[in-house]
Amino acid sequence: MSGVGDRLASVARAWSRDDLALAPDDRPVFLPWIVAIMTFLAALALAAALSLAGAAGRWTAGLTGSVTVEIAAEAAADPRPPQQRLDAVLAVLRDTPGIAAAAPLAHADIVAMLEPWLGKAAGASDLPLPQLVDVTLEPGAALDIPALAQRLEAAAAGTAVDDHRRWLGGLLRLARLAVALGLVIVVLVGCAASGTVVFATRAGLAAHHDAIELLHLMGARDAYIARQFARLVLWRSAAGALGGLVAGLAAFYGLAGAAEANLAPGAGAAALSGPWLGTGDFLLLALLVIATIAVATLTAWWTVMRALRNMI
Amino acid sequence: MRYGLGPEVLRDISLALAPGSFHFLTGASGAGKSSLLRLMYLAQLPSRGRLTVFGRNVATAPRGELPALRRRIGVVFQDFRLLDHLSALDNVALPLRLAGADEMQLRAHVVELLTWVGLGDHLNARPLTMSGGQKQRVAIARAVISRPRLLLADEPTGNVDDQIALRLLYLFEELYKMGTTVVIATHNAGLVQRFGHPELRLEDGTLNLIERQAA
Repeated sequence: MSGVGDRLASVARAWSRDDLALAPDDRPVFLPWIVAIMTFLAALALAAALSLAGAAGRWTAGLTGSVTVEIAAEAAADPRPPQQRLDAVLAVLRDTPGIAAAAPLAHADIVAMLEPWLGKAAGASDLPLPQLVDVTLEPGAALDIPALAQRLEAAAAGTAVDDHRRWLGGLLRLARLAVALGLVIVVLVGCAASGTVVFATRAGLAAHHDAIELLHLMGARDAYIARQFARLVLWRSAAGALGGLVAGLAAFYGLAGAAEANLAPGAGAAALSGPWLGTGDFLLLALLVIATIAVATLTAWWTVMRALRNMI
Repeated sequence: MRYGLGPEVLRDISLALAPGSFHFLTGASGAGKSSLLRLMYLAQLPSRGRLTVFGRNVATAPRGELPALRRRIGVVFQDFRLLDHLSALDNVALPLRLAGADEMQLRAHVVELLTWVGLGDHLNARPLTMSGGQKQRVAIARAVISRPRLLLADEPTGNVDDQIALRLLYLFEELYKMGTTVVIATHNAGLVQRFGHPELRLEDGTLNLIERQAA
């Protein structure tokens, strides 16, 4: 145990050494700002991607356990009154294995759903509105939707079954595309940040060429010199990355709040209901900061080691 | 040896320094003294020929072995090459810190040596506030602090008065008597005569050995 402790103490001592003592005027002062801007963009993109992925998950969970049956207001092939046609459909549904419940939606609920689009006209008594039945499936039930649709059509002409797949499929594809785009932005920003660190470190190497050569000639190992640069980049990128994350989250919640406030009450707001980011998402954002700092530090280390390899 | 594609600075040099020997390296300005020292302290590789340091062929030794070889060599640079942002104490302590010496023992050792070279009152002075002679003494203290096996000095007495120059030469003599191999590049013919060590004279890029007796 003391061996491990000694080793850790030795590493900590090595990382605390600052023999080059980079002077304030030639330190890479712009590095934290660049890293902050990069992290800001990456955090914004990642938060948006995670939020969309979360929303898509909620949509899927909310809709896969149910189907909606729509009975047309009028059907030439079936002149029975609407209530008789509804009863015929409910009878078929209740006899179908895998269906836990089938509940017709009240007329007032259907009117409320249409109001955002039709306004007060949705409640007009002469408007032929279809009847809707909300069908809840038993957990894990694999319902044969086309067969059910055929049986329902036979029971009451003008009946359609909507398992939400078309609507949900398009939305999920869009959400997945947005998530992929967000991740691509994160990777591109990471590459740009690495490039910036390379240039900043090279500038530092040029400014301290004499001191580096002196340490080299005195027997300093490459790792010793590289550590001094990497240590500086570590602290500076940590400051920038944390600042960028806080700013990115503030911007994300500002935009999300504005979007929520401007969505039409009803369909849009319902689609985006739920928390914007969950605990797992915050952990991923924390990981983004850690990854940014690690990439910057390792890039600085690698740049210095590569430059030193050119000395004998 | 040549720098890049330039002309050969040194050629046909055959030299073996016996362990524990003391040599003065002389020659006119531009004769190649500093270049020969650069080869010896492993800042440069010969463009052809063979360079062996402490029994290791430098051209074939793995790069990872060179730092250990360099730590056995103390160098006094002509332009001192002190780190301006470090105090005299920290400059001198640098070789010991690179070797991982204990910080408490290191300080006592450095203070003792700086006091010996007459800089006991300037432990925390930065090179920018020091005279040429003071910087030179700090550079010498840094070169000898880790008791190197090979000490190379490029004009180590160029910026100090005769009394200090003698004192520094006696320090080199002490190290020589303790087994350190010493090579001092100098223009000071008086010192060369006085100490009587063999002289390596560089002329037209070639090296001649001149044996001497102490005056």
